[in-house]
Formats: sequence, C-alpha cells, structure tokens
Amino acid sequence: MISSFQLILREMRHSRLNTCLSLVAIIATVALLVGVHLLTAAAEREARRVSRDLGFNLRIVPRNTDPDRFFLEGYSDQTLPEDAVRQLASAAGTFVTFNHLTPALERRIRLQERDCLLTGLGQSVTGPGEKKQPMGFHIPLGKAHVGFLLAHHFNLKNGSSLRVLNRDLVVEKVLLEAGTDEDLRLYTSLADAQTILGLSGRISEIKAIDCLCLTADQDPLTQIRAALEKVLPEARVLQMRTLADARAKQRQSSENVTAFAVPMTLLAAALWVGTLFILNVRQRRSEIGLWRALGSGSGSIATLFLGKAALLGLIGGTVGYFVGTTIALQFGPHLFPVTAASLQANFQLFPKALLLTSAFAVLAAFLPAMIAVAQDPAGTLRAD
Amino acid sequence: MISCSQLTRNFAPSAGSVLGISQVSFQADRGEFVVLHGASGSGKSTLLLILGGMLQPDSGTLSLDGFNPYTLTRPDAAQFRARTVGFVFQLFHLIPYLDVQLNILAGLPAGSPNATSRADDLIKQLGLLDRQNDYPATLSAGERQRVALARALLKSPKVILADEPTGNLDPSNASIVLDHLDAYRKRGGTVLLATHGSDADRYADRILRLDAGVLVSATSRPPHPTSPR
Repeated sequence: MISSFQLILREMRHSRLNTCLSLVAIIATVALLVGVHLLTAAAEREARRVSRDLGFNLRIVPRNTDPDRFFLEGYSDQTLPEDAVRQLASAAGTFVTFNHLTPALERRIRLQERDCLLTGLGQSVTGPGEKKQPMGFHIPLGKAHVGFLLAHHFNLKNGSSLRVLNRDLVVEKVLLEAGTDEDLRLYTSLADAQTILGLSGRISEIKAIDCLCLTADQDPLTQIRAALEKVLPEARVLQMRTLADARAKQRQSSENVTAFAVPMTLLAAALWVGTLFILNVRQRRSEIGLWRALGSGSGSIATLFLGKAALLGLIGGTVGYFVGTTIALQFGPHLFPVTAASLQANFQLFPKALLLTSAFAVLAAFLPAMIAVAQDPAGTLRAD
Repeated sequence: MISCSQLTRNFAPSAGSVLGISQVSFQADRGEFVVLHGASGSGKSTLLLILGGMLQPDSGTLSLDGFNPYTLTRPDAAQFRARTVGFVFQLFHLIPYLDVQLNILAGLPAGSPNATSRADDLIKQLGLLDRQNDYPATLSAGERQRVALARALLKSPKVILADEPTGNLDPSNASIVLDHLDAYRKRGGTVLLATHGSDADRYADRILRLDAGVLVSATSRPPHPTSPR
C-alpha cells in the first residue's frame, strides 16, 4: 500500500547517517570529477598557451629548399604562392595534424650597413569553429616589431620611424631580449615584407603547430609528412623536434595523470558507497526477512536498494556538479591566471553527470543488493 | 488447510544450537487453533517457517490450502505467501521507518481495495488509535505486537503462523493478542501458534509438543463451541 519510492525516501530519512555518508561520497566524487574536468581543460588551455609561446614547432617550406642552406641561413630561399596556406587550411583533416597555420616570408636584408632578418607574418589560420587565439602576433600594415639588439643598434623605441629599403615603418613594439636570432629580427606584416622584398604574393614558409602531440619515439614526423604530401606536394615539412617533444610530453603527462586519477577516484568512491550499502543491507536483514514473509519478491527487494542508489546518485550528482563547478570557478583563476577568463561552467556536463552518477551508484550498490536478494529470510525471522 | 507429512530439516553443524525438525507429520483444519509447545531450540520456529513457505524442508511433503509452496516458482511462491499466510513473530519485526498505520498497510500489496479503512478498523479494535502516527521505536512491546498482529490480520490470510507472539508481553497484552487470534479463528482462519508457555492452551483445539525436533505428542481438546467446523 506504500510505493517503493516512498519506502526508499522514508528509509533514507530514517538511516540518516548511512544516507549522509553515501551522499558525501557521491558528492565528493562528482565534485572532484567535475572540478578536475574543468580544471584539466583549463590546465590544457594554459599549457597550450605556454607551449604556444615557446614558438611554432613545424616549418612547412618549399620542397626544393636546400636543407643545408636552410639550417645555415635559418630560412628557405625558395618561395611558395601565398595561396598555399588557404589550400592547406581547406583540405579535410588538416587541423587534425596541423594548427595555427601562419604564412611567413623571411629574408636576410641589409639595414643601414647592418645585416638583419626580416620576417613578414600573415594572419594565422586556426581550425574551423575553434575559439583558439591565433599564435604569433598580428602586425598591422606599416608597423614593425623590432628585436632587442636591432633596436639597440639603431636606437629605436616604440613610435620611432624606420625606413626599410623602400618602405617607411613605425616601430610598434621593441621586443624583450631573447638571447637568440630573434634579437636581430625585424617583424612586419606579410604584405609589407612582400613589398620590401619585391615578392608579391609569395611566402617562404608556413609556420605551424603539430597537433598530433606524439613523442619522438612514436614517430610523428612520418604521419605529418604523409598528411602534407596529400595536400601540398610542392612543400616539405621540418619539425623542431625539441619543441614538439616538450609539448607532446607535457600534454601526455597531463593525460596520464587524468587517466590514473579518474579511475582511482571512481574505484575509491565505489568501494565507499558499496561498503555503506553492505552495512545498510546488514542493518536491514530483519526488514528484508519481513518483506519476504509478507510476500515480496526478489525484484521488490532489489528495488529498495538499487532505487535508493539511483536516488542518491541523482541527489549527489546534482549537488556534486554545482560544488565541483563552484570550486573550479573559485580557485581555477588563481591556478591558471593566463587563461582565467576562459574558465566557465560547463552546463552540457550536468545531464551527463546526473546520468553517469546514478548509473555509477546503482553499479556500486549492485553487489549489496544481490546480497540482500540472496539473503535467507528464515535466518533472521527464526525466534528459537 | 495444513497437511504435512514426514517433514525433516537438518541444519549444518555451523548453525550452532539451532535444531532442525525430524519426521514431523500433522494436519490442521480450517478454523482450528493449534498450539505448538516446546522448549527453546526444539524446532518450533523452524516448523513454522517451513509451513509458511520460508524454509525449504530437506524431505517430506506439505500442503497448504491445497498447494505445496515449494513446488511453485519463486514469484508464484511469494504471491502465494502474500495471499495465504500471515506471520506474527516474537520480535515483532516492524519496519522502523514506517509509522503504525503504514506498518499495518505494509502487509498488503499495492492497490488493495479499502485497505486504509480496514487498517483503521483494526487500529481501533486493537486500541492503537492514539498511536497510529507513531513509529515502532516509541511503542511498548504490547503495542508493537498488536501492530504486528494487525498487519497479519489485515490481509485476511487463510493461516496465521504465530511464533511466540506473547513471549515478550505482559499478561494483559498477551490476552489481547490471543483474544484477537481466537476471534480470527472463529471467523474461519487457521492459527498455528508456537510457544513455550501455557497461556495459549485455553484457546487451543489441539496441542502439539515438539522435543528436539520430533513431534512427541498431539492432544486434542473438545471442539470450541463457536468453531465453524
């Protein structure tokens, strides 16, 4: 005369300690997983941003580039049509392998009796629908970013005018000392560099980031080269292996931590919830015997425990989602200051969290429920 | 109503002092009040649980209202038990998180007609009107047993199997419980009551005695004047 749902609610209210401890386990697990999910995404964004600042790790240059000369000079003396970037970007599957495709034109030039490197950078292209901020820096037409040494030689400051061959430029930014050839580099927009060098519509390379994130022993270069060969056979790719390896290892170590921590957390929570349910079954041995005596079948007995688990999962999943999200939003910005603004609640996760938590709780309670079903009622009902 | 022959149930040695029953045979008719005597550990509870379809015998045959519950499938046996048998236990076995009224209603399957009004009638008859919203933990032993009795009576079973129902009660409450069981018998129900005391003897149509799991005597008493037999 009383529904299973009402029985479950009343029993949960009666067994407050057991109910609360089960809920704490579920809430803590869901909060942890939701928090880890949000913070892992934030950590990845942060790592991407940091590794992005390490520089591009792929250089796509014309196929007929002489490698010896390329490594001695630091750039290709051959050119590709500027349209190669669009051609690569529009090919299916490109952004599985490459990202942040940035056309560049580089040459050594003579500037007031000194040699320097001129780099013209075009607009970076990211994968369709991606919110990623393009790598590199956007340099407006007529502006220049000047390397530290170069600025020192010519006494350039922000706002200074600079004539480069046939083009007048304004210094927008003097770069910090890098300790590399960056210090002797003059960055302009791609269009300005093309004008200065008389190479309209041409680029010397496409800078890019490797998206495979495989370490050297996993031979990413073969896959990268195969992908490029299909789309841009007139080009070849060179990988800055140290940078690529560092980036891949960073990402893989983050994934390894998650791959270890998530199952461990779930296992610990399942053991906790399962143990509490076993205690609950033991406490209710007499009640189970009575339900049997009153004519309840195995399904009804199992429903009392599995239904309770599902309900605890729903409540715990809801509370845990909001607790985890709140914690992530509260502490995330301090942990990941560079990408703090990107840290937001993931509401698409909420229904998944509810469904998975209920399923998880039912799974954790399954063995105890079967113990309840298999319990010999005569043993608890016998008086003598 | 109840017919059993050569019922035997042995327990493994690990079950300790709990004895089984051996070669127990007897019959109880509709409207009969049978008292089962025996010392603690003599097998009274074991016999009642076997008769109620809760504990399968190792051997022997049983017919309860024309069926052997142990030949039915598990769901059918559960339904048969719900329909046919009412249990009253010495330790009451009330559900701690249900109040008096819901404990009584717990004996019925969902959707039973007029259940609440019938439960209210029983609550009045058993003097539980002012306790109907209270929980078992706040009830006296006598009140708890009256609730357990009401739960058994509510579904109007063919048989009530009562295991030491007055074992924890004072004489006044014991009389209330026995009077109600007697009234149920007069309405045509069969009562099998196990006890190690003698307070139920005056209601008995027949007294059986178990000793170490063996039925050692069966004494018939004169038919009750109001028995439907």
